Amino acid sequence: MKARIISIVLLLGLLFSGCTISRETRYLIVNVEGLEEYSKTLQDYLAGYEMGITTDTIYAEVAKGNAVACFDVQAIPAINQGVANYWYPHALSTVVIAVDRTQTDAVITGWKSLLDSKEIVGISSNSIIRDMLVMGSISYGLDPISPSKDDVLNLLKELENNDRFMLEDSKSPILLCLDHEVVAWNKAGSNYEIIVPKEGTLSFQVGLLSDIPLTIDEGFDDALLAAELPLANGSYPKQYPEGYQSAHKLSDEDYKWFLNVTDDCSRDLRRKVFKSRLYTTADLREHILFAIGIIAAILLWKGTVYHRMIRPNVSKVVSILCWLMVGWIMLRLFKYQLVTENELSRLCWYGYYIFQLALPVTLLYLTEIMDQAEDGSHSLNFMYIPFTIYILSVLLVLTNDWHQLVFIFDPNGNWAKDYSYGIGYWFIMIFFVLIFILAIIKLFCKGRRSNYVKAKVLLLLLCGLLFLYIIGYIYRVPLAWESDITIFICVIAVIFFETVLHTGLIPVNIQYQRLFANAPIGLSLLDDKGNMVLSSKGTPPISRSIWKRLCIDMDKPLLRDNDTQLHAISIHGGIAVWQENLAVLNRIRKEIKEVQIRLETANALLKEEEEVKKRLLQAETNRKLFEHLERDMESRINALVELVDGQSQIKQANESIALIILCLCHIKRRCNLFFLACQGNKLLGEELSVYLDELIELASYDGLKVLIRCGQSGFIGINNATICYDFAFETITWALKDTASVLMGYLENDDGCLMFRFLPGSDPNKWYFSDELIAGISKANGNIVYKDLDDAIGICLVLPLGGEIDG
Amino acid sequence: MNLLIDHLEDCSTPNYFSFAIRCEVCGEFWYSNSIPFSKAGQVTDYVDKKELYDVLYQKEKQRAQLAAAKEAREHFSQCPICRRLVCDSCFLICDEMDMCKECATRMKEAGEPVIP
Repeated sequence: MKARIISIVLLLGLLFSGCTISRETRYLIVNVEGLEEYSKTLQDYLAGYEMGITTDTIYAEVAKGNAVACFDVQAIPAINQGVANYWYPHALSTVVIAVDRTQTDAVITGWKSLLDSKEIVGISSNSIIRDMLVMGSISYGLDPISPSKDDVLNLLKELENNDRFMLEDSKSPILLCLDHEVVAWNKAGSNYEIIVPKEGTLSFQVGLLSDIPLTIDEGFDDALLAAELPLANGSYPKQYPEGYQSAHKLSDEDYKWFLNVTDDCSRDLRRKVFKSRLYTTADLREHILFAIGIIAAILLWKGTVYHRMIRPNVSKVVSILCWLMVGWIMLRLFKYQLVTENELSRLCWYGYYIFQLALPVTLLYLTEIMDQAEDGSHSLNFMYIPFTIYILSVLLVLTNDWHQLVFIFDPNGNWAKDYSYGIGYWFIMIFFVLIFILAIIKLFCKGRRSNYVKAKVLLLLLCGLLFLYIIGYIYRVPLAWESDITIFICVIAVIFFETVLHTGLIPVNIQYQRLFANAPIGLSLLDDKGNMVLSSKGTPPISRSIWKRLCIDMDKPLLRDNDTQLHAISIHGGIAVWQENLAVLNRIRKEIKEVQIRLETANALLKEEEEVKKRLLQAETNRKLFEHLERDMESRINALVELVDGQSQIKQANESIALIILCLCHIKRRCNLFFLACQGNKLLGEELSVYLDELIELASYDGLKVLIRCGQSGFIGINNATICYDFAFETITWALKDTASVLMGYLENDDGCLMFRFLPGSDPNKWYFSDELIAGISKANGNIVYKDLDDAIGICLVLPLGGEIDG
Repeated sequence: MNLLIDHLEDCSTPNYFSFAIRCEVCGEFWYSNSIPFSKAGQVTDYVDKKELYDVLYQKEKQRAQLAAAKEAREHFSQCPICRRLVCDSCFLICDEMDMCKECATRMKEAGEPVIP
């Protein structure tokens, strides 16, 4: 915005300044060497005009309303083109050969005879128009019918090949100059012979060119003759040799070939005759065109760099470097436009150093910020030193006119070329070369990981070339001195930076667009207005509503659709958006959900199956249990059935009933013991005692007196308890059957064995214990022992304690 | 309007109110303009004030929801055939009757989308 306002103000300034040409004083301008005497004479006869110094081209001066003293070759084409309106020819100048007879006796008769002479031939003037006049005259002399540039250049080239041709040299023994100049030199004491070339030469009219009519006072012709200038009408002053007359004067048709022959004479003399400036610009037109081309190239390059740079601050510094180069070239271009070498052009020359010295400092700054954070948190304090040196150096250069510490010259002489370097210049050079070297070292150190070895070598070569060039320029080596230092340094700088960018010493992304196009995360860059700048292939555009929402809250990702999540981050000048594909995640989530549902269903089924199995198992267990119980009780029940069936045969009903009840009790308790065995429980000695007491009580109904003492306290293994119970039951049963009246028993734990002793009132040897009981005792590693006790026989059940069964 | 309000998905945060509607044809979400909560970022230790803020939040959210629905009306249409809510990119202006892209394909109707 600011730039636009400044541009508008400048344009308005230019517009209004262009509309304000209103000046009363008019000037008589003379900018052609050799016409000083003419102008001096004219000054008294041209009322209302003051002698002025030109700051512009003669045509620009004419346009300003000034009168310009010039030759007809300058005036007539301008009149024909409508650049000026009035041409007043007054005097005549003929291009002649002046031979200094104090230096040489060479016989010179014409242009070709110059080749035969051994003397140096020079053109005394340093203005282009004078070179044109000489070249035109020679070409006419060599071929009056169809003059050509090649003829002149060949002649001069041949002279130059023998080192016998000099430009801007008034000390040569043979000079190509104007006739009235020679007369003036001779009048001043020199001894020049005027040779009018025998092949022919040209006489040029000298006069005034103006846009407005001029009034020349009477007596001007006489004044010219008095000033030893020949008149345009062919009258010559008496100082001229006798019989001296003007040569061929150009007609309207001649100007065309003259201009063709003399066009670009400065460039042709430099390149074709002196073989200099072969690789650099040789004349003003080339200077301007080349400078504009280089400026365009630099700006174009700046544009490409801007797009390739990743970091905005680095990009800005490179932009500054570009503008420094452009500013330098522009200043140089401006200086080229200045016609005369005055204070302004000298200031321009000093001004080059504002840009030139800033380049290494900016490069150093660039290398410093390259690997540092962009937020400005890094310290750049030491950069004040080079900046201070830069400012002091520029001030020293700009004030050189006062102290001449940097450049030493004569302000009134040809300072543009004849100058030498002062101590200040060497100090400045040393400082800035050090800064440049430091920048290069830092650049290489920071980019040491780069693999572009060849490019690094190229960089070093470029640096070396730059140093050699500058040294060559300082010491005026022709190749460097005759080139354009501004253009050379700028071109080298651009190549240098481009190489630096390619080596990766300064981070850039050359394949930025390809990177974006191929980014697999659907990357998009949006500017601050939401417009898409770059995006990956196949990435759908970001809608306005999504962009707005992203701008409000970038930390929170949002869904573009159910399968795409967008993330954003703020970047310089916009936002970067990338998308995360949730399709796979969603699919996995869906699959997990489905699997979860399937698992839940399977679990329910399994649970149901388990219930069913449990019920089945329970039923089966019950069945097995009852089968086992049935099997276990079968013999007892059969015995009971037999007992009941045989009741009628039994005489004593009481006895039978007691037996039946005893059996029923036994079956009941065996069932208890069976279930306890199934549960794996143990039986307390006290409970067994209760069971035994029950049997005793039932046996007592039949009159049997039984006394059993249970000395076993605590738990007894269920198997041993069952055997003991069965043993007691069967013993009591036999006792009842034998109608014994008394039975005594004692259960005790004796020496690790369970001893169940009975002392029956009858002979137990007749008793037969059931097979099941015997098998049970054997299985428990026990036995039944009979003991004769003199008057009775005891029966004893021995069961070892411990072990698996008892345990 | 009620249809739009029903379809609005709440994407609000404690700091702003935002609502989204998903196009039932392309599946892309449209987001309403985010409206900041007037007391966003204001932290209070007082329970009463906190409750007041909560009430205010709900009130503003309701208003924001209405505004979002109004805004969505400019971007969504209901297909007269399938009755689905579709975005302007998926809603076609046809010769006889405007309809969604999928219905138009099914019925072989040609049309131009509201937003190409």
